[in-house]
Amino acid sequence: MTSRADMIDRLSPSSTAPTKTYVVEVHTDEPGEYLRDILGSKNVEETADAYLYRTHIRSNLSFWVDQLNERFWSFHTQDSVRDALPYLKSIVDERRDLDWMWLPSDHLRHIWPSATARRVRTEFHAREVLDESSYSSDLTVQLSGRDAEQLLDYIVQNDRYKSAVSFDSVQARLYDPELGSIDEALNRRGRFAVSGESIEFHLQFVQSVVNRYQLFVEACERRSIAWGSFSADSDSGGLVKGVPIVIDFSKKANLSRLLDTVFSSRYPYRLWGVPVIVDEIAHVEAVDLHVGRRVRMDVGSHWLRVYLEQGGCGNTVARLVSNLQTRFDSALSLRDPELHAALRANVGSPKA
Amino acid sequence: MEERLLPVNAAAGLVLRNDVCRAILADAGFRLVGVEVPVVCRFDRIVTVDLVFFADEVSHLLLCEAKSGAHLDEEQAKKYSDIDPMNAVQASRVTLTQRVRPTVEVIYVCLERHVESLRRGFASAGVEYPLLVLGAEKLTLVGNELASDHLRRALRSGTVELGGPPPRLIPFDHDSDENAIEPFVKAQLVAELSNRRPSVSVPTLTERLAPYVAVYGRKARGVLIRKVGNVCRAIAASDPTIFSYQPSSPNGDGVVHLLRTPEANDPRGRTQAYQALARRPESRKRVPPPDPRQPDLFSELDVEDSEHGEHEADSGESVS
Repeated sequence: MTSRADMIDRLSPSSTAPTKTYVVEVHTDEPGEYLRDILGSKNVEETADAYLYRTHIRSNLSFWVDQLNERFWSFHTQDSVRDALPYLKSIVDERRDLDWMWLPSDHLRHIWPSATARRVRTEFHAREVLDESSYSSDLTVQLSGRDAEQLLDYIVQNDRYKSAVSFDSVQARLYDPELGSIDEALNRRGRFAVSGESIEFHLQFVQSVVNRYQLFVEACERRSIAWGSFSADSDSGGLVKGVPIVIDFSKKANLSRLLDTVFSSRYPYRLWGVPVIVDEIAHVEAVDLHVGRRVRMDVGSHWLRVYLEQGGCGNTVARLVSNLQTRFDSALSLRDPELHAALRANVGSPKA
Repeated sequence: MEERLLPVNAAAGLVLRNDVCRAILADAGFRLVGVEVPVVCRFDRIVTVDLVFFADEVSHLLLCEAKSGAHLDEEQAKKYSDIDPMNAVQASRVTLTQRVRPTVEVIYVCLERHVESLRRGFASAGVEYPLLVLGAEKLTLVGNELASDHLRRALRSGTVELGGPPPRLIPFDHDSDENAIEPFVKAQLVAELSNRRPSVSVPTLTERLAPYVAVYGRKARGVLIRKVGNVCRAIAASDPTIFSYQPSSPNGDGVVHLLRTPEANDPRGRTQAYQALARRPESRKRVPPPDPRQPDLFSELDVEDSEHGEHEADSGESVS
């Protein structure tokens, strides 16, 4: 029977056929059954490893599905991105219990200690939200070369542009004296491509990125607002736990424009809502259409408050933050020091 | 948020760290330990306390009555003066980590314009309590001399700038008008549509959109379910191609049937269908498009190579 070692041997990270890994967030208590359900029973083959499956979708498309991280599954393939990604997108789009990772900008800025960035791309598209007085309502940079990110560090030092630099993709060379050298590309949707010497290095790199992201998502979930009665049998009161999550903007928002953009049901936010503005604060009972859950928000011109309810997914917050960074303010921060440190991929160094 | 819910939300917000509002009670060592807690007073009467805060280090309970209006329930106010700290401990289930006799104090939270009316009520009832008065993004302690050292420490100068509007932990309740509840019901129905559910019962809908209602007790839950049902009926009447309402009967609960979901459309149609659900006759004027004096002329320079659509370009494969 196929083993994990077989997968590692067969995923050859060559430059002509790079290995791609797509990370998908999954909510299920029955992973094997669920995988068969979404991909088709006849397409899924068990292996000797309880967390690993081989899937054959069609002649030019197959994946290794690794569920070792039970919440963030890795779909590995050497087939063309033009075949693999549309297929996975259609699966994720159909299901409310599936989502992509939505990496914050700093998770791409700092992908690995001592990694040498060879190529970076930033995407910032805020013309719908920012008015003409803004110095930078649209900024896209694609730079190839050694230490590519340093140009962006230079731009960020300028107050006019620091809120317009949002990392979208990065390609870097990672080197370890024991594991060897790999070239990794990664984008903010948790899609990886690798070529180089060591697939083991790649798999561990993916897990490292996922771990850091998961810390952020789970930290958000620990703050979810949960109500409980003291007794199911009598009216003896109860308790509420949790706190709203506050996002602070680095610049003043045009509230109308921001609301129209964020709650339009359109990609990438895909938030439905009918804002009610009272005293320059918008109250929104929104619906996250990615996952089919309500999420309450209050929006001011300098901050946004998110009420994640019990059972809600921290990925909702991560997605909102990532999209705000690329569509409004890349220099936003989180008021909670622990969350902010997790956002900055710098756990242990709280916000000053 | 309805104005009458501001005091209870403002008070609960005083222990929420890292929020827009300052967590002045949390900073003073208090935490929220109970909501809608019935406490037995002297002569076996019962008062239901809106919010119970507890300062662990000094074993001090702060019982908070959030007044939504100007009228004082004098009977209730007298009951508060008869609360035995030991009963308050038992009712709120706190663990006393210090072997210090528990103490209790009562505070009323109210809107600024109701202060004088409440003070007259206190006088009539023969009781006195400090008042935490909610103004525009500030809190003032009135009756400072009546407050404990612990509470005075939280509001050192008597007035505290909150820093923002109170959080909406309880955005509506069983006393809310059906018009106030409607946006929440609509949002939850949209969530049900996005999950492609064929129907949802009114009790289930109510629990999903107001998980806190169980804390208010069975009677309140029943009232809210009835109101949510009425709102569902109205929503179904205004959108009959999407929703239909089956009233409750002796045989079963009211049910909302979800006839057509935006998820059945292609991505562009789906977005438009959701946007249609958000439109109201009195909806806000749409923000005008970018200034036509500054058109995007780059688009006139060359023909685009890549396909445009709703989705961002994919990346991640090409490695050189």
